[in-house]
Formats: sequence, C-alpha cells, structure tokens
Amino acid sequence: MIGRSPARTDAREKIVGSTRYIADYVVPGVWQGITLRSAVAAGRIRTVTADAHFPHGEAVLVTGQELGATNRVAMVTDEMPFLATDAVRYAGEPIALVAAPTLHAARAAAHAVRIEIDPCTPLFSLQEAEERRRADPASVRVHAECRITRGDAAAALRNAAIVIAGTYTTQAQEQAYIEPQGVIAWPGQRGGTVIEGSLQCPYYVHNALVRLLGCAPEDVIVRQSPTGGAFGGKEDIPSVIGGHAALLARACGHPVRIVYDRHEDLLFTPKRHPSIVHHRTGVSEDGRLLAMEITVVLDGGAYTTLSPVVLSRAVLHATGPYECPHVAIHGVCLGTNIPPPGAFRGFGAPQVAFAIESHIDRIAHRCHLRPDEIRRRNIMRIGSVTATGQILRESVSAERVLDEALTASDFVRKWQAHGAAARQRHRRGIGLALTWHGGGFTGNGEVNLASVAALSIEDDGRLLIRTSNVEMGQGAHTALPQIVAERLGVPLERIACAQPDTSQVPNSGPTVASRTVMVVGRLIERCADQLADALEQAAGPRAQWNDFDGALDALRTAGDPLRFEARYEPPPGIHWDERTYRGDAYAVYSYACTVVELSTDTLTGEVKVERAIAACDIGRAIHPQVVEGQIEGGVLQGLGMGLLEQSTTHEGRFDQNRFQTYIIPTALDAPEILPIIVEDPYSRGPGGAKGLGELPVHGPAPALANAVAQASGRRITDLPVTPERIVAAGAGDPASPIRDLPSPSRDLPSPSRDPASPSGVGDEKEEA
Amino acid sequence: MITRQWQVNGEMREATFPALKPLLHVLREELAATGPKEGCGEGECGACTVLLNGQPVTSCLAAAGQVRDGSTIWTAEGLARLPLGERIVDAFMRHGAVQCGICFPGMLATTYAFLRDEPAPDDRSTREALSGNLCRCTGYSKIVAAILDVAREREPAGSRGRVGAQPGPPAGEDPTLETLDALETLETPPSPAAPRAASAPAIDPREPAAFYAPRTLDEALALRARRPGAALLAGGSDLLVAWQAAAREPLLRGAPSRTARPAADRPAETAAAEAPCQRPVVISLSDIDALRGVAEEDGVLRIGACTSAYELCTNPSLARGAPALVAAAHALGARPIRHLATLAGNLVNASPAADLAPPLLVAGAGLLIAKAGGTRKIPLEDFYRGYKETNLGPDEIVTVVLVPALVAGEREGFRKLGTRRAQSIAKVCAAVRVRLDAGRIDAVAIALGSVAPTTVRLPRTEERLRSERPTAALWERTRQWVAEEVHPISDVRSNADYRRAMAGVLVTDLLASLVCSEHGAQ
Repeated sequence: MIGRSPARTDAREKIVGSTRYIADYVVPGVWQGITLRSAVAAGRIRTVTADAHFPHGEAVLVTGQELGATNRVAMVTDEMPFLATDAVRYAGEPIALVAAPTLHAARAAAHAVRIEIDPCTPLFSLQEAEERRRADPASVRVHAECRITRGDAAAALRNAAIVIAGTYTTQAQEQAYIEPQGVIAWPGQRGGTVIEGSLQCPYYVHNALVRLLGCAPEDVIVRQSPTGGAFGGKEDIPSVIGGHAALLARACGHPVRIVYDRHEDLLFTPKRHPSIVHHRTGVSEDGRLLAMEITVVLDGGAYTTLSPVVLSRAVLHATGPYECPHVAIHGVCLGTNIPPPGAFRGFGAPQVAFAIESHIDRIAHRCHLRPDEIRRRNIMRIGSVTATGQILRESVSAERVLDEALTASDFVRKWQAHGAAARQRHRRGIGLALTWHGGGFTGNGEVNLASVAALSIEDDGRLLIRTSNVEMGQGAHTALPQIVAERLGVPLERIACAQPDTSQVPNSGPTVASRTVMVVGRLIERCADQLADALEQAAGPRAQWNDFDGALDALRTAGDPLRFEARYEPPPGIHWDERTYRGDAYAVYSYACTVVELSTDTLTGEVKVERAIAACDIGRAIHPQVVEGQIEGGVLQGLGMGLLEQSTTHEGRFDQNRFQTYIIPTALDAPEILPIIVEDPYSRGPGGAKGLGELPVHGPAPALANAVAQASGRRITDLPVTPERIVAAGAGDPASPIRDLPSPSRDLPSPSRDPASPSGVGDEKEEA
Repeated sequence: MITRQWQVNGEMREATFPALKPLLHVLREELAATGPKEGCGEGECGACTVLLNGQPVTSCLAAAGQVRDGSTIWTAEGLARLPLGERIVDAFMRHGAVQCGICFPGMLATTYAFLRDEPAPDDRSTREALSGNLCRCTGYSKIVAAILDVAREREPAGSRGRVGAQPGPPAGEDPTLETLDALETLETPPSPAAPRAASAPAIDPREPAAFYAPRTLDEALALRARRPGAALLAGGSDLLVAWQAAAREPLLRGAPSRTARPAADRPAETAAAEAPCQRPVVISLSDIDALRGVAEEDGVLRIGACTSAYELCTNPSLARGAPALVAAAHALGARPIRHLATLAGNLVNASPAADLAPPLLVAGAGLLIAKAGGTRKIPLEDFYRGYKETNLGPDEIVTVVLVPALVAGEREGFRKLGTRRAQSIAKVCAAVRVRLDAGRIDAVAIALGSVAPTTVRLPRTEERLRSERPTAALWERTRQWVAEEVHPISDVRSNADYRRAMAGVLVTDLLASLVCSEHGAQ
C-alpha cells in the first residue's frame, strides 16, 4: 500500500458539505462566548467590573481575578495568563469573557463591563527593540537566547580573503487557515470539562485545561473536530480559547461555543515570528565557506509562548545545508508589545532560509559562480558535520534534490540566458533555493515527549489506529492506515484512524514538526509488527492462515490482548546536549530544492511567477498524491510569504485585519507548480519516510527573491518582495546600472569594476 | 422579521429572519444547510458561495431580505446530487484536490456554474473562475486539473445537470407582490428572543428599523421621500460588509481615548459603521427590474443603475461602446461578487478606489437622478464632492448611468494595479479615452482611481497632451505631468510615492497602447 494513492477517506464528505466543522455543530442549549480585550498595548489594569446593568441570569462574566494561581497557560514556560489581571502586554490581550444565549446578547451584556487601564510605554517593533537593547541590555525582555559555536569564526573571519555581510528581515506571516479558530466546551464532571474544537494538539489543550481547572486528568476530555486548516496556527492558541470556553461553561452551566470571526482571528491570534537575520561570511576566492557569523533576532511579542522552541529551530537551520568549519550563531528572541507570535509551518526555519539563501546568492555573485555552483561547492553530504557537530550519516540528499531541480527546470541554460538578455522593461528571472528541515522535535524533544501510539482490534474486525495526531487536511489519516496495511497485508478498508479524543487515544504527541508520519507512523508500524507477531503466536505462521479474519479469531480465542502499543525510542547513537547546543539536533533531515521562474515589469515592480519547481526528498512517499498536495500547497504559502503577504502594525495592532487587506494568493496568483518527489530512505522511518509537512515552505521566498534580483537587477532583502520595494530600489530607472546581478558568465567584468556593486539594499562589503 | 419561501436544493422551504441577516446565516441557522461556510464574512474567501437563481454569489454578502420569494438556491449539499455536480465531486476526489476541505462546498458551487456556462475551459479561464474562492492548503494545482478533467469528459449534450432547469418557480416571478401598505408592516421591533439589558438593548444588528423592498421606481421614490436618508441597498456587497463589521467590532476596552485609525484601514466606511447600535432604515432596490439592463439610443448607452458588474462584463453593446467599463467590471472582485455588485452601488459608495468610475469619467458619463416629482441629469464628474461624499440628496435615487458610446476614431482602455492578480482593491487604476486626428492627439480624457480623495480626471495633463504627436518623448513627459497632478496617500494597500509613480506609468501605458493599437480597448 505504501507508494500508492488511494482516495482520501474524508474527501467526499468535505466537498459535498456534510462534514461538520465546529461552527456547524448543532448543540442544544449552547451559549456564545466572547472576549473583552485590552485597547492599550502596555499598561496596568486598574479595574474590571460589571456595572448594575449587567444582565445576571441572562449572561455570565468571567474575569482573571477569580482564577488565582491557576491563571497561567501551560506552554514552554507557564507565563501567559488566560485573562490578564494586572499587567497588559499587548493591544487585544484578553481581560474578561462574557457568554449569553446569543452572540448579540453577549455583546450587549459586554457593554456593562467596565475596564480601566493605566497605560505605560510600549515597544512595538523589533528594530526598536534591537536599538533599545544596544543602549541598555536590561531594557528589553528576552524570551530566549542561545548560541551555537563550531571552531573559531571570529579568527577565521579575520583571516578570510573575502567577507560578505548582509541583513535580512521577514514579516509576521498569518497562517490564514480558512476555518477560523473555534471550540465548544461542555461543563464536565467534578469540575472538569469536555472540549471539542479545531485544534492540532489535543493533549496540549488537555494539559492546559487540567492545570486551569485544577481537576483530575480524566475529568478533562479534549476532542478534535474536523479542522479546516491549521498550519501551526492551531497549535498553541486552542489551549487559550479552550480555557476561555471551559471557564464560561463552568460559570453558566451550559455548553459554550467560541468561534472567532476573521477580524478577531487576524488581529489577535499568533503569526509567524518576524525576524532580523544578520550574516557575516568569510569565503575563499573559489567560493568555499570559511566562516559564518550569524545573528538571528526574533520578535517574540508579549509573552514567551513557543518562542524558545521556534528560536532553537531557527538557529539550528541558520547555516542552510552547507558545511562550514567555523560557525558562530547567536539567537535571541526579544519581547515587544505585539500579540505573541507562535507556530507556523516551518517554525523559525523559513525566516533563516530566506536569509541564508539570499546571502549565498550574493556570495556566488562575488565569487563569479553560478547559484548552483556555489551551493554544490559547500553542500552537506554523507559524513558532513553540522554547526552543532552532528555527523550526517544517512539519507543526506541535498545534492540529489539540487540535481533534480536543476534538470527539471533547465536552470543553468535559463539562468545564463536571462542574465545575458538585454535590459528591457519586462525581464525574466530564475532563482533557486536549497533548504533542509529536521524532522520531528528538536534535540531531546521526542525523548521528552515519549509518545505512545496504539493499534486495536475492534469488535467489528476493524483495526483502529489510536493516536492524538489529527487530520487537518495534510492527509495523516489517509497515510497512517497505509503504513499498517503495508505491514500487515490487509486491505485499507478495514483500517481506520480513531477521532483524536484524549479519553480514547494515548498521547502520541502534538501534530506538529513534520513528525506525524515519520515519528508516529513509525510507532504505528511497530504496533502493526506486534500485532503480526501476536497473530502468528495464536494462528501459526502466516503462510498457514486461511485468511486474516481466521487469524484474528484465533487471537481472540486465545484471550490475548487486542490492543498493541508502542512508545518512542530514540535511534541509537543520537545524543544532544541542550546546554551546549552540541550533538545531534535532529535524527534526520529532509531536503528540498526550489526553483522559481518569473517575469517582472521593472517599471511597475509587478512580478508574475510563472513556474515553481520543488524537488523534495522525504525518504519515502507513503501516498504520492498527498505528498504532491503538500508540496504544492507549501510552495504557494512560501510564495505568498515572498511576494504578497504584507504585515504591518500601527501602535501594536496589525493593519491587515481582514482578508481584503491580508492578501493571500488566489488561483490566478498561483503559478504552475511542479512537485518532484525524491526518495532517499531513512532507516528509522516507516517504510523509509522522513518529515514532509514543513519542508516545501522554506524555499519559495528566497528562490523568488533571487529570481527577482536577476530579473530586476535589484536585491530585496526584506519580505515581502512587493512592487513598492522593487520600484523604490530603482528597478525601473533605465539610467541606473544593474546591481547584485549574478554574472551570467565568467568573462563578464567582476563586481569590483561595477561602481554600484554593493547593493543599495543590503550592506555587502569587502574587507581585507 | 420577514418570511420568505425559497426553493432550496430543489425543495420549497420557508424561513423567518431579520431582513439584513446574510443569506449565509439563514441557510446555516434556519435551513440546516451548513455546507456553505463562513471564512471571512466579507465576500473575500468564497467559502460561502451558493448558486442563487443559478448564479454563484457569496452568500455572506447577500442580505436574505433581498432574496425574493420563489428564488432558487443551491448549496453544495444539493449540487452534489446533480449529474454535473457528481462528476465534479468525483474529479476532485480522483485528483486528490481536497485537503482540509473547508473551502470545497464553495468551490463546488463556483465550479458548477463555470462548467455549466463555459464551453471550452482552459487553465487560464479556470483559474479566473476560481479566483474568488481562496484555498490555503492546495496551491490550486489539483483543483484546476480536476476541473479541466471534467471539462474534457463532457457527457453527451442534453444530459448535463442544469440548475436553471430544476423544477420549481422560475426566478423573478414572485407570486406575492407586496403593496406599499404591506411593506409598512415590516417596521418591526427587535427580535423578541433577544434578552434585554438596561444599559444597551440587545439589538440584533441585522434587524433594520425598517426594510422596504419596493417593486417599482415610483414606490421607491415615494419611500425615499418619506424616509429621507434611508440606506439604499443595491447589491449589498459594500453595505453588508460594513454592517457585519459594525456588528463584530472587537471589544477593546480600557483605552483613555480611542485611537484614530487611518480611514482606509477600516471596514467599508458608511454611516452604519460609525454607529453600530443604530438600526438602519433600508430600501432595497434589487426588486426593481426597471433599474437593470442596457439600452442604446443615439450613441448613448443607458445603463440601469442596478445592473450588476457581471451583466456589464457580458453585455455586447457595452463591449462595443464602452470597452473600458467592461474591462473595469472584469477587474472588480471575482464572479460571485460581480453577480451582486451593481454599477450605481460602486459609484454611490464613492470610494476613491471604485473600479467602475474612471472609465465612466473618461467617457463623459452622466447620471440620471430621480426623486418624487422629478429627475435631474448631472455629469458624473460633478457627482463627487469629497472622500466618500456625493451630492445625492437624501430623497434621491440614481436611476440610470448615461455613457456616450465610443465613436469612430475613439479608443479607450482601463488598467488596474491591485494588491494581487484577482479579487483585489486597486492601488491605482486608470482609464483613458483618446482620439487621434492626422497623427496628433485630437481629444483625450484621463481618469484615475486611488490617487485622491475621489476618483479624478486630470484636466491639466489632458490639456498638455492635446495636439501633441504621440512619441516616446511625449510619454516620458506625460509620466511626469501625471505624477505632478495626482495627490495620493499612503495606506494599508500601498504608499504615496508608488501610487504617484504608477499613475504616470498606467496612463502612458494606456496612451501608448491605444494610439498604436488597431483595436482600441485593451
């Protein structure tokens, strides 16, 4: 079954509209919950009170004051309150909750709630935070900080023939799942609750709710409802919204639904961490990386939430899939007064991929190498050593995906042709990016999670896969059964995935970090092997069975357990030291090479992406059609980040507060996308599979920026690459020379003879 | 509350609801049709798309009170049972087009109408058709491939499922014609189900103070005279957004004083949005058939005020006589919005970004404005007084837009720079109408959107161009002239410098292509 593409089990119901998402649930007696939020970005709450007009009996009010010590959302650090009681740290921070039988009754009741806040001075941008920190390090909160050191980068930079520096920034990209956030909470037994909602991580919500409600774990039940897109955006915030709904349900005694509308969702839920990445790189004349000094600064917003883990993934991917003997990486996540950013597909890696893949093209330019040549010269191979000292031992396919993408795109010929083309108003460009992604949790994360998955035989003879990993569109509940079917040789129809429900499934960890197939799929594979062994114990060697059902009957008759569990075991020889950031950061990496072909109108700055090619090595494609879908969708999200998705703030509030202003790509904006599946099997993955979900998002934005640099002669180092930025960089000025344009052949003049060679946008410089 | 009878997925159904409740919410809450989803509440995502009288519309932007008795509505649940619908569902499944699935009920409705109406779909037309339905999961590739697959395997003629051919009363023949007196009874108190709070009565913002759906212009003018200042509801694609946004403004508390926001960042600005608790008096114009349609008389195109943007796109007289207007209508929203949005709605809303205004300004269009006892005619240029301000009287209604058709020797074109390639608001848009005589520019009109508080003509640039010979050097100068004559601002969509520069580029591009081309409009 592995390698085939059976029809997805959930597709028909979704198309015809019979799948019920959380907003579609019909729940008799349900009340509607709403959130009262801070209008100021920083301040101290003076009062939160209901005046005499509050319609007690017809509505309920919940404030943080009633919660005491349990008013903390369990996350990486337990810092963020469910409801602010003293300090407020961002505009839109929840302060009070109201529920009533209808939404407009709740809103009317909210008029009777008085909130007074004494404002204090806020900090709105990462640039401002960096400046303030330079003047006084104690003046800015630091959510997280880490360093990676290999060799002596400072010394190597001093001795390097060429040093190239650059700064790159990325924006707060919004996940823009089409189904907004939503949960329903029912009042539960013994102070507990039952939560059902659009979420990725049932046990995260479970853990947070047990802590909030102070009840026994079995008295909180969390179920995932069909989820209309998530992309990381439903990793952390459902713990908060679930807590809100549960508090209201407890207060009013009714089930309570909280469904955000798009406005509220865009304004106040987490987005991708904005970043500033500084590179200083020493290279030899022939383009070998000698030293890399990298500073990654993330905007962590008002609370720590997932930032330490995002920062960790960012620094661990910051060098790109290139080997360099001397590396010094410093990562820091600063506190500001914007809504806390959170998880978004890629989780810190797209930010650093944009930086290194833009930067490496500039290095290529300086060294008179083609983009593919500079990469090949430094590429990770079997036996390469990463910045943390990890020796890559298997499934290292960076060069293979590079070759696949170069061939499929005819890159070299096009790159030379576009580079040599006459300067006209409409110009074409081609760019590439080579990226990697560590599968599963970082460092010791998977060991600490100690995930458990189960496979059970149901009364009707079906095999039920029990995991807490959700189907949110990515196809997990189609792929996991294929792994079992392959292992047991039974038809797919008799295998199903249980609805993730904390009372029914073990904790196999969150649905994040490209881990579901690679890590949890491996657990399920092991469960299937246990079942196969048990069947052979009960019914004799497989060759002697009449059929599978006969063997099952024998197992039942023997009175053996009908449920098989597997717990995560780290691959042998994997070691990680969290304190020193040395060792094996990830068990294995997936690799992708993205090529973007586009045309620009240099007068208007308009960019038309014509074609995107992504060659992705994921070890083994369990369901090739689903894999293609993941690549295609990931590529378009990456292009959205690269080209369209502007995100700006005014006094700590996002300006793009509606889908009319937060612009995601339509079908007309999407180019032809060519997914290329590369399979370099991983010995510890199910059927050889590695992580896939996040990988395709990293490459499109830098590949696009590189193609725009070729086409327009202007390198844009800040995302998104808008027409405004291209025009402001002088792309349309016929009198100005081409800058930062990779030279089409070795015979062309070197950049040192080009008076404008240091890009007007970056700060490339040469030393020594 | 009003009651309507519609044929929903082939069955007669009755529902009672506040008149301004979006059709989407009536379908989901009163009629148990939860196939259509709410992804944005303002017509951007298309997850709520249904077929209303055979045409795809974003049901979150249609006030249910505007949907006449006897209308047919098809949602994904019903469409999937029709032969064409079945084939689309199968193709989506076969191609693995579905991921999270939330957008697919809307996709299905849009796709159904597209494949029903389009004889020869290709990649480009399919993507254009889908451009009002956002999908964040798939990259669209497999959706497009599935649709083209269905198109290739068209079943024999005659057996295709046609929504318009379903049993039930045909669209537009409403058996229960309401008189003015009957309409009066619609002035209802708020929904009795709403709990009362002393501080602020729980008004359902979707329940207007009064809702009138007159059938004739005379009735509408009489109502307008009696309820001056009543909101005129045409397509609803602007007003519904504003009313919905007002009902859902985030509950921000504790500010010393509300921070003023730049106007362009706020939801479609209307009086209703400023005072969310005031229930509007609404006169719906969508039942007045006389306000729709296009006629040509003595070289003048008479376009009914409530003609939809979609009708503008498809009208052959307009394609000949006002090609720039047709191009602008094509650039407005996506098809489900174009079925709702009306010509006069776009003009009266007086947005500086109104796509349809620049082509009309360069054509020298006029408006017929009626009130009880008389009609006046006014050039469109004189209609705008300032940002979001017109000189429409509180008792008046725009009834007809008069557009001088292109004459021999004249050419015109329209171009828009939006925030993306479809379904976007203009950063800058431009229209030009030009006539050459003996190799010189004999007459030229230039109009721009999104560069000033209103859409504007550029009289100084026009004057400078007159009698000039079209040369590359002239275009260089023209770019400068245009940039000097506009006064754009920076907002959430773009910045002033870019807009100023692009105004020049768009105008010169248009001029250059028009004086060189054989055909006229782009």
